[in-house]
Amino acid sequence: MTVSRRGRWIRWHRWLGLALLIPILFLVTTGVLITVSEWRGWQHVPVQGRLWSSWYGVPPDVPETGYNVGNQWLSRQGGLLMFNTEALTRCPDSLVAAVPYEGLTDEGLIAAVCGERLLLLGHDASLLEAISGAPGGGRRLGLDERGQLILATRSGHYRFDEFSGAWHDYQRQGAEWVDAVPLPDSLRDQLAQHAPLPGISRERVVLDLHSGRLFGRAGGWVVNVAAMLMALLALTGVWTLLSRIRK
Amino acid sequence: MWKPVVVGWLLCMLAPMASAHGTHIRYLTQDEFLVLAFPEQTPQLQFIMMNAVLRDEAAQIMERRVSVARQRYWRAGDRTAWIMEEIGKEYPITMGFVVGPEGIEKVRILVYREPRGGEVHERFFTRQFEGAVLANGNRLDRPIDNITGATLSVDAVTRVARLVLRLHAEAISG
Repeated sequence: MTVSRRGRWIRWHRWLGLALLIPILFLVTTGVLITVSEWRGWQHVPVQGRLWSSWYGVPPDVPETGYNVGNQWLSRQGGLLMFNTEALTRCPDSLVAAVPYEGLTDEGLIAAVCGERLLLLGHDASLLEAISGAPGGGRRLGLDERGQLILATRSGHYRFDEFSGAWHDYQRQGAEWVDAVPLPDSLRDQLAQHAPLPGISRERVVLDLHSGRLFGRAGGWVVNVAAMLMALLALTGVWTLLSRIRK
Repeated sequence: MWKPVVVGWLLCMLAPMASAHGTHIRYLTQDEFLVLAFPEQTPQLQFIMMNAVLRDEAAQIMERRVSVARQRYWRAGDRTAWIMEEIGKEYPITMGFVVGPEGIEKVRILVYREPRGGEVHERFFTRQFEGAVLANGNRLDRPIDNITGATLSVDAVTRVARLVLRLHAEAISG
């Protein structure tokens, strides 16, 4: 009786192992990819392409407007600051504005505020400096009559002091604000060619693959059932081992 | 009898959901940090130009491309202060370092934005860096203890500490 019960468990164990071969290989591979994702910084690598766009139902991020500074166009696409069609640096929060700026150098610069970072750029698409600590909630960026950078936020106006690198309260009126304007069609078409999907990183795709969510609710259930069967596989394995020891 | 169990279980389920959103804790402003760094002197703002060699070294230390052409710092005598930003997992951590002839003097977290791992601003963690200098290969001369659940933030602060020490050496020698 004991032998036949053990035989039954072994048979179950074998069939389960066979049935779970592909799910286990799939989950192991995607599980390893999750670890690789962390090493390779895939959480910051955007996903592009029409296939992914239609799969996720997310339209690609193509900026409509930007800032024209000395024949250069600055815009924000996929969490990056775009200098014409070149991705310069990360700009995860909103691009408040970009303005021409003299600064401490003789050559003209471009100042852009991304969230709480002030970026000083050269006209050759070089990133001169990234300075953190800009007041949060920036709404508009402009210059006063002395060429000083003025940032308008919900809580007030601030002036950038390049000597200290800090933003100070600014009470005076009369700053010249810069507004976003529509990007030229040709530039927008170029940006659309490699447009990333907003909020979808390569890590997100790997996680969705691993959890089955990439294939909708059914995919999630398949992975759940596979996981439960894997637990059963382990239990049948332990049971057959214990039976052998008892014998 | 069962009510505390249910309430406890609900709290356990809701706690991660509540903390999953990005936080934004400002511990110090830049001005406050500079007063802390130089209580008796007024520091001078200076720039270090990131030439190709220095940029390569910085990229090796930071394990990512370093694209800025210059880095600002504040100096008084042979002491320097640096305010740097580095991403922990998702969001940048703004941190301040004071370096003197004997190595790192102070480390402070100015703004922490990640939903988890904020323990890196605690003194028990930042104290580990005090007196640290660079050893071979631009590595710290001591191990930095990890904090469970804040590994990426710990790594970020450690990487920036190494970079700041390297930049300090360049600033003082230049």
